[in-house]
Amino acid sequence: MNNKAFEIPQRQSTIGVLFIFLTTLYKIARGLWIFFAYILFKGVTKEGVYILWGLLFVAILSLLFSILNYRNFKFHINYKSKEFVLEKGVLSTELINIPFDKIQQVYFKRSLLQQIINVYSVVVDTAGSSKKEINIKALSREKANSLREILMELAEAETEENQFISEEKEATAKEERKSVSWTYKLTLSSLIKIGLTSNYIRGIWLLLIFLTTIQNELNSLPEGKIYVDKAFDYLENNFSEILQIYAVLFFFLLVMFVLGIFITFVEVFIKYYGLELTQTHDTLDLQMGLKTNTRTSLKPKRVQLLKENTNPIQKYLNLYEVQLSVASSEDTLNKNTIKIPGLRKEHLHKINYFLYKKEEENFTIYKPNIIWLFRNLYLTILPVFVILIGVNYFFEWLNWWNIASILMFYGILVGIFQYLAYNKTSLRISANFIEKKSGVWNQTIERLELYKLQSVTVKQPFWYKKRDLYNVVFHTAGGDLAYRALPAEILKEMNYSLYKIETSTKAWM
Amino acid sequence: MDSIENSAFTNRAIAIEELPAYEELSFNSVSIKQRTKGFIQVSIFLFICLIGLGFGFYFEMPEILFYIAIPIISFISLFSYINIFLLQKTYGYALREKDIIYKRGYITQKTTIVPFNRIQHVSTSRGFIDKILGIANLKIFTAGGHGSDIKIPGLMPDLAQKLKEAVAKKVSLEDEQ
Repeated sequence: MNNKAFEIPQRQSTIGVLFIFLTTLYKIARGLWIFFAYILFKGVTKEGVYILWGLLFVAILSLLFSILNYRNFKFHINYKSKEFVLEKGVLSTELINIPFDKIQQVYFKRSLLQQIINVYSVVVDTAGSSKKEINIKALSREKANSLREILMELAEAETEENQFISEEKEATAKEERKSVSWTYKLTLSSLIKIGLTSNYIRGIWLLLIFLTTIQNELNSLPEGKIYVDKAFDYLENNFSEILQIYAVLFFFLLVMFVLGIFITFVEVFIKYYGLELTQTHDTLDLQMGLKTNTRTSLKPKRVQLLKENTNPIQKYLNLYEVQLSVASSEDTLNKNTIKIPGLRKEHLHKINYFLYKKEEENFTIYKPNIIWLFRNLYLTILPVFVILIGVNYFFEWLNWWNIASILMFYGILVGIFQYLAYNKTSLRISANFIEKKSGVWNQTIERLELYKLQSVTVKQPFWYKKRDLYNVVFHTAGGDLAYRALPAEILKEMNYSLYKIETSTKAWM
Repeated sequence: MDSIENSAFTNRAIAIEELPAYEELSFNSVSIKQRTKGFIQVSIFLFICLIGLGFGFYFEMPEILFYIAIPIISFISLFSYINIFLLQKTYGYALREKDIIYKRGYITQKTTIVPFNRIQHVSTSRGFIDKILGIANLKIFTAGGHGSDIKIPGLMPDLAQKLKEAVAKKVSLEDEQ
């Protein structure tokens, strides 16, 4: 490989002008859409002509802006001072220098537009409290690839030099790095399965939010309000019988549910289309997305917290989701979670093995005190009881026998659910790991390596004192892992965790 | 390096019993001025509320609002005074060779332990009332987010400074290793 690539300051690929121009236009159009709407509705009136001239002027200005933006955007690698240099700015000039050892990650990103024009965004992630955004938005595939590779290598070499790793080891590591260990591509059928078996609640929520915004928007326009009122009138006039109301409600709920599934499906499709996971010698490369195709490269030491999710249907279909919490840099701590759905059980093992070099470990299992179950029971039952009884007391909505039967039914259901939840949950601690298992339908396992802990917190509410119970929180840079109502033996584990942190010489990220 | 560390830990059952227990430590308490500070803060709040009520009275606010506002204000103030009084005894901190421990709270007692080799930076801070009373806060930041950071209030300024230097020294010592 050419060792001094990118030494001379250079611009993005020429087609980049078009990309910059189109994105600026798009941004402006988003701000000025009301004028377009005006012309569309009113036709080209006298004011319309002025508006058109104005818009044309803005378009020409943004073309000029884009050309200047493109011309002034230059980057190069300074091998002598060991930094990546970026110069940009339309009127003012900004000069950004990033020393190699501050480079955390280099990855690709592609929006739909970038996919059409066939250019890549190269994003350079840096450490440091003053986080400067580096995003080179229009590079050809070859250039993007080689820039990423070179930068990653330089960053690697720099940090490894600091960590006194012997040279021969480095050489072999470099060789091995090139050899791909395994690749997993998410097939279309798996993608469809994920879409259909995911949690629909989010989809239904999105739909509700969408509907209320539409209604608000319509209400705010004088013409729109008439339509909304008309619709309500129509419903009131034609469906006033109680059975009809139930029918309409039922129909509405059914439509919501089906649309909810559909939206969830589309969202999953857009987010995870073309998911490809590759494990190289020391990174996990992930590429996915229909609209914006992102490509990230993960190192084991950056991963702070791992979460495995599944539900009984997905388990049956052999589908698991892994969620990785990554600390992006030591100071800024932009917590960053990466979701990888549609993995098979074997990949779960592979990922775990890759991240943790995990062998079989002996786990000590801690179950919460039975008070855990009681707490969850009254937290889920009491509010519903109070609200229902209160509402009925004031509005006399149903007779008390009906209310009692509804509450009984609800209580029994919740009771069974929480009992199962109590049976399923546990905290497991081994010599090097902590695992938390929980969930009845959405079953999760959270896992962290003891040396990646930042600190620990122990809490004891006064009503736990008699029973000698404790709540514990393990803090990592990727989020907390908390557990309630554990017996006093857990304190020994806390001391052990501290011991593990304090004797650890490994860098936690 | 890894292999040495792991091999030292094959017999976990014994090691875990012999580990130093944080819960058996004796804690240093914070200055009683911290309580004074709390009382002053609540009094200022009460004072502002009273001024507000005075204005309300002057501009002939509906009577019902007074019936709502006065009990709420009295309840909050009373609760805060009691809360501050009870909290004072529960503040405690301790330094060990390799970590710093801070506890607080009486309804729920919270103990946070931060190892020196995970501290990002240390600082002292003094607010307006702190300056008048002659106390300072010691703040310790980690990468573990809000719940994992520590703020020890009510320290004598020179003690806070000394602690800060001591902790900073330990942190840099840990970093060198």
